[in-house]
Amino acid sequence: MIEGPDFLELELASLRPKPISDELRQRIENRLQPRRFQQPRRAAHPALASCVAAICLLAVVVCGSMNRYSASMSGNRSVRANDARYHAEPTLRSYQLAFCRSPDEFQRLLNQHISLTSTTTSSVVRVGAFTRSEATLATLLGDN
Amino acid sequence: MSGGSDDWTDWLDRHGAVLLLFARQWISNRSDAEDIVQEAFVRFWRRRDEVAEPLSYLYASVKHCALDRQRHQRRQSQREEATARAECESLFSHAAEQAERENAIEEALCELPEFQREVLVLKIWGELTFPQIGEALQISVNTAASRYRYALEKLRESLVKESIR
Repeated sequence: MIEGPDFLELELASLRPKPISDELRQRIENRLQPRRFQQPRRAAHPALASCVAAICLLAVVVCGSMNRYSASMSGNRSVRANDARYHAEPTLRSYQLAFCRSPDEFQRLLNQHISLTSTTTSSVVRVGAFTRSEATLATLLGDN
Repeated sequence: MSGGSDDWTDWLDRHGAVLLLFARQWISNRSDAEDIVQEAFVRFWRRRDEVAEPLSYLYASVKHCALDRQRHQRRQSQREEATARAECESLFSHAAEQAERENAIEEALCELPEFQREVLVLKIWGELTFPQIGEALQISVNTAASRYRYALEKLRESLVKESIR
């Protein structure tokens, strides 16, 4: 047999508990609302960290590139300076450098200096290249 | 989610008054009881998605906070507690013509043992089912049902005695 609600139950249910105050509602709202505003801020933290990481990475890459560029530039400058130096005059040093690089380089430098001698004074040729007497040369060549 | 929407104001509108009534089973002072409801409700709202039975968890949170506050209040003197009880407001919104009867019900309710009264409040005004009451109070469904039955019987006896006087 199913019993229905008795009179006392109905009477009790008809009593309404006193409602909560507006102040309590406001206090609860104050406690819960800030969390809603904090969520975007919280979501922004990983984005901010990613931005900082990306900037740092970019800085490293750019600095690395600049270092490599300046190193290559200074390398080029020194090579060019060396080239200019040993190409300028037919010295022992310039021939040594050219020979160290390759026989072709040595030959090229030699040809260059020969062409220079044709347009400059003969003293350069005498000092820089062949100053031996004909007799000495003949001895060296084994003509005697 | 059983018993409500995802808007906290809906939950508060629907259950706020009964939560306050429930808290006042342990904390007679209305202002202190509102503190309890505030703390318990905020705690409930932040964890509502993690619990299987949100409504039971909400009432369980109120009881937990109320008992916590009660422990603190026990440190106060008996005199201060008696004063607080004397100053406490009534539990219900009385209609003028029924005030006498409703006062009698409220007094009879206050005389019930705590373990029966809390079941009665959850069943009558909270409209919880016995399984939900069992979950909220950590008791079996049968225990919840029997406590409710005994509470009604005792209340009925008290009200009959009151009407004879």
